[in-house]
Amino acid sequence: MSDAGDQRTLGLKVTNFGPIVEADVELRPLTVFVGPSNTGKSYLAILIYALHLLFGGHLASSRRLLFRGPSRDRGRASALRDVGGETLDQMRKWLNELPENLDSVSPDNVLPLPPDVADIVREAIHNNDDLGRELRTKFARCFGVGAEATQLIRAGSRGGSRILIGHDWAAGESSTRGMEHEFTMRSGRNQAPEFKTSVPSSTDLHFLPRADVLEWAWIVRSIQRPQEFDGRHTSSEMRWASTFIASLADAAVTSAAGPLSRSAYYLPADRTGVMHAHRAVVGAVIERASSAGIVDAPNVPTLSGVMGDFLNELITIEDEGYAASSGHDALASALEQDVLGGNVAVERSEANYPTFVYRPTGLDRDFPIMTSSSMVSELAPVVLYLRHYVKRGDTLIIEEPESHLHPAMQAEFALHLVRLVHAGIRVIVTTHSEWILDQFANLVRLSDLSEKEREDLRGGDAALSADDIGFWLFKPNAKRRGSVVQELKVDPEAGGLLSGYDEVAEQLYNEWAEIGNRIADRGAV
Amino acid sequence: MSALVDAVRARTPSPCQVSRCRKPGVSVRLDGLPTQRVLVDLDCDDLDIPPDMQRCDFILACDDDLLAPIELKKGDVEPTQVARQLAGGARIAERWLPREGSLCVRFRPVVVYGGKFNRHQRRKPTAKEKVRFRGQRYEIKPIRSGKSLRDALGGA
Repeated sequence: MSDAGDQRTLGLKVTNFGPIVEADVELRPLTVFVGPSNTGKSYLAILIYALHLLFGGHLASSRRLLFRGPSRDRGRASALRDVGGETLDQMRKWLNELPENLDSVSPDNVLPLPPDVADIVREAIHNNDDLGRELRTKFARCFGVGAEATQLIRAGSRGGSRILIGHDWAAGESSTRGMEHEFTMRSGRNQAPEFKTSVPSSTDLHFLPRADVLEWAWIVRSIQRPQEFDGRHTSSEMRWASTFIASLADAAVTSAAGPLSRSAYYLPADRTGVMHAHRAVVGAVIERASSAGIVDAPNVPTLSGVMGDFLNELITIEDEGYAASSGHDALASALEQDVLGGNVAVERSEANYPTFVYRPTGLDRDFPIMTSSSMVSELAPVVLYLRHYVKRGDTLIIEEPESHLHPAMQAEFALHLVRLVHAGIRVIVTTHSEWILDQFANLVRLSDLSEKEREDLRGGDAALSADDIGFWLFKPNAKRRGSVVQELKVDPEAGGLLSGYDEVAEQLYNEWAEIGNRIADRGAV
Repeated sequence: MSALVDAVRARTPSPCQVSRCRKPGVSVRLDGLPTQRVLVDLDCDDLDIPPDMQRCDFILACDDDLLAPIELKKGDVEPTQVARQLAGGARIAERWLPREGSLCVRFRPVVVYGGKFNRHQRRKPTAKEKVRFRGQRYEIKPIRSGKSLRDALGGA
């Protein structure tokens, strides 16, 4: 369902990260993490968010090169200094064959790189050692840990954390798998993280024609003009070509990253508290942050990246009242109508600070969110993000969507989450809710009916193919001192998903029955 | 050996005494239960139970006085039907025991299920559908296929 980049299933293999001993998951349009507390569901969700920041923001690094020049980019210098006249000629020849007006190419359409150019770009990708440092920085920020991020390595593990990103591992043959990234982080001083990218020679490379690539394409193209190019390649032209190759390498990496190249938005589990207390939190952070350098650094309050980003997105949201401002206003309105029973809006004070208000259906009066029910605080960010931020192809990560919701509303909200998926938004949820899992399972089972057969059933419009949803169970493993992640399948024989929550209900019921049976024992003759 | 296990052994043909509690697609583990026990397959022809008589699949008797009629359901659980089958099994088991009062028995009806049996079904209909034994009405204990019977019986 992703509308950008590589359309194949993107997989993630994680070893010794946080409490996770081993995880092998696929990122599908709807990805669901379930399992007991402290097994790493949020760790993996934040890891995915950090990967979005890495691959989604990676093009920015080539944009920086436009201003700084490639010679200052130490990571690429060794790979690109060998660019010679022949390479430049190849690049120019290819650019001549492209449409004159590259700006007219839709940024959502990937363009293939011809084999000879792809070989040059492939070499640049192989030799890019920036990504390891960048990813470690993203981890440190997103998890709110030290710059080395070594706290994220599972305690007692040998060999450190390892993260493998790639496509279609289930296909088997490595030649069909395409670009893969491997990130390794070890504990110990001066242990630099490693980031290796492999691109089989059989893999076609593509790029997204975004602004920075097009700028460099225009520059490289322009140096062939007779009045500016007399047949000799000057050193500055070589640098331009190097930078263009770097930007193409970035663009190819981004394209291969598929959904990870798009924006992600993270709604943390404690979003309700933030909705109530954002003013106080922001005030405290600003007040104490101004003391940085005066007081000890540990005394300056910090927020983890996901919480900081959430807070920042919340307070910078545009004040557009109840008006539609994104393509997903219909989804936001449906959520307001079906679950919230009212509308959510943003108002700004004279100091331009936002206040979030709720207007119950049928009333002509707004109430501050902080005086509304916790369900409203819980879901208001989802409504606001759909209106103001989330675009088709983006990923919305929601921790514990069941929080503060009655089971009926949990099931209803789950239905709406699947409708987001149908609208092209990728959704990742961590959950402890049997109701949400049951709703998802029902929607998968609905896909076994034809549209006609299911049209009068609840959720008939939202039936979801089993290929579009992945349930991943995080199971504690005492022997391995951590958790292991395995896929859960909707099992028609078992009546849905065997998530383990059922066992808790069963145990409670059996205790109930045992009490009743002991009462019966008293009267037994 | 307990009088309960002795009685059941004495009244049931040995070909009907089995070691595993399973039917195609559904089973329950017996590990952790007392080793002195007898499990009777009520579908065994040698028991001479009329084929149209409603009954459960197995009767388990252990030397800790446990007597458990067990119904195995591969698919979904329908509590009313299961209660009838377990009650039928209980009536058969009662015939094997000495007269009422002479033998202490802890009666625990069990359904092992492979299909859907959600929280709502378990709490309401199952609690309502009880199994009569020696004048008392007992609640059915559910256990998912493949799990240990000992866990379902808990402190029983």
